[in-house]
Amino acid sequence: MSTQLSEVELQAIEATTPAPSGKPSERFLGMCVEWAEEWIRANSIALAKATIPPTQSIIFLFSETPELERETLTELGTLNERVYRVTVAQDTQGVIVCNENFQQMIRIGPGLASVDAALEFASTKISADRTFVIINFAQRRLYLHRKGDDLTTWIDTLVPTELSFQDAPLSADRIEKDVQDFHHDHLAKPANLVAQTMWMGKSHPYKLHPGPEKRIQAMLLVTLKASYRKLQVWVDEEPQTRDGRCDLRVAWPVFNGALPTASTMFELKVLYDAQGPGKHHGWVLSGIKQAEGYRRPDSEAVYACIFDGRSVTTEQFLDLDVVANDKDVRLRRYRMDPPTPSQLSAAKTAAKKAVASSGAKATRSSKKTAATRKRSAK
Amino acid sequence: MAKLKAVTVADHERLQFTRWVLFMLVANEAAGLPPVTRHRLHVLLFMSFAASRYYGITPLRQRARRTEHGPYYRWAHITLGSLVLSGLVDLHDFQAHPQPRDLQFDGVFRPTLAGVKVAQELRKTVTGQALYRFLLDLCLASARTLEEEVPTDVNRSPDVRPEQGRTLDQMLEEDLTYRHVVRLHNDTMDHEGTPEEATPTVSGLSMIDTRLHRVGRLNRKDILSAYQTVLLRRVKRAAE
Repeated sequence: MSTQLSEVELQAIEATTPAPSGKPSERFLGMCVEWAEEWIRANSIALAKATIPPTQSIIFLFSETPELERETLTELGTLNERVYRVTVAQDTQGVIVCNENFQQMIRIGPGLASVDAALEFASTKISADRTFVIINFAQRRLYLHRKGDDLTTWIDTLVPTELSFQDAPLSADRIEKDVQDFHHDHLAKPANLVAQTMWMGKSHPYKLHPGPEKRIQAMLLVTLKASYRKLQVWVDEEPQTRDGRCDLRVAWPVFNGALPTASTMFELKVLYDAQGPGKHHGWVLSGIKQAEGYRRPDSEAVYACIFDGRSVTTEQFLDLDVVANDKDVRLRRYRMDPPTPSQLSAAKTAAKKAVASSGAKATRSSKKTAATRKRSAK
Repeated sequence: MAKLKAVTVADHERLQFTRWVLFMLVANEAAGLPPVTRHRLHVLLFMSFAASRYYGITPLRQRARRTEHGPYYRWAHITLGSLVLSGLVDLHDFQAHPQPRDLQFDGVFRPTLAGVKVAQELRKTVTGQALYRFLLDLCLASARTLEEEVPTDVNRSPDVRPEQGRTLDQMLEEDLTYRHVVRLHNDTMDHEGTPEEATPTVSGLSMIDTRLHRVGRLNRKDILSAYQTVLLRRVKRAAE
């Protein structure tokens, strides 16, 4: 064989598909959705006949090396049954520890009585620093927990991902509509479930948890991937620079086209008060430039998506519409209403301020009195 | 007072080699590949050295001796011995091959949980993180290639791992640099040329990178996977 690659060999690999991307725990989440898609396809008849028990649920728990780590997870279950990814067996259930590409899957716990039982199990036995996923087949729903998310808050604001895997014709416009719907359903209002996980809450108005773009990216990726059959969704894994790049790339197969796929790319940017007003214009502009850099020969469109969580949004940087048009980047603005302080907490804050100010006055006046007394004594 | 003595270059390289081998075994485990045999470890090391510059990582200056069992890195054996004796790597199916020059022994190697934890600590440095990422990408790409190219009925078999291991061995031996040096008939199996000169592996990866870049495929893990797909298809063609 030659020590160089031939044109025929290079052409043949254009049809290969991207692997789940991101950090290992994020790739595990992508794998969970891929597995669910395969399971639904393999068991479509049973699903259609409604013979899948409504209680049948799985907890997939991420571990880098399940076969080695299993012995330390005895509190979660003591079974040791190998599960094969490719079988997608109809009766798959229980607590299954998996590595990131599902090559190692070990069932350590038996079937759970219901989704509620799975949530109870997760909240009482699984550590918050673990990434895991709960899937209920009859509901065709998936609940994902990212490591580090507080478990109580996670359960209170549980966001289901619908496993619809539609077989619809795709286009950039259609995916854009999905992004709009995702924003409307999950981000627009502070009460929306994904928004609740992003904002620090009413006691810290206008403040977001770190890495807001990454939170949107992770949820949007899983939501899009679960929406369509054979949709390729991936993120750029290459070394992250300090320019806050946060992208999402979506591709779908095209038949009879010059290229095997068509695609669209999204750069995600969140505007919030803590960045400082001087930074916002540059942040939006960098989003437009980055989106332009993502364009590929198979790109139908590239987007710069601005999620605006500022307290004052009168300045919309309309001059950048011209820049985006010139670069053929679709600039889209999405409002994220911040949580406003509740009347009670506002009253408490006001009361605290009043106490602090009267305390300061009291201190000043008492000092004054002491000084006066001192002078009087002289 | 004891003299302060700098760590010699040779000592430093031995430490780097130990880290490379431990990371390789942990990455292999994390990608769910079959446990590493002695033979595969040497071939994996060979391919990782041939490909590392694609990730901007300088390969270690270790020469592979040509043996009837394939490439042989003397330091890999000494490193494996240290890792096994320190409890970071588990050894199965040990079989001695007393040879005056090669110190060869056969066996199957897997990291222990302690080995995985040490590797996690070593990944906290910038270099350690970059090196582990490269080796994990390499192993994940192998796993994906095997999954997509090996028939489903084989993948469903309970005995899939030995079969996967055999296929993996064949695929790694199709590496472009490996094929190149096998033809040279030298005592060593090193790519000749200046250190900065691209190996046939890096040239092949760069060609695939350029090709897949057109369709927005930027992740090097996908490029490694496509490269190994080509190698495996060559194995299949040769068997026909």
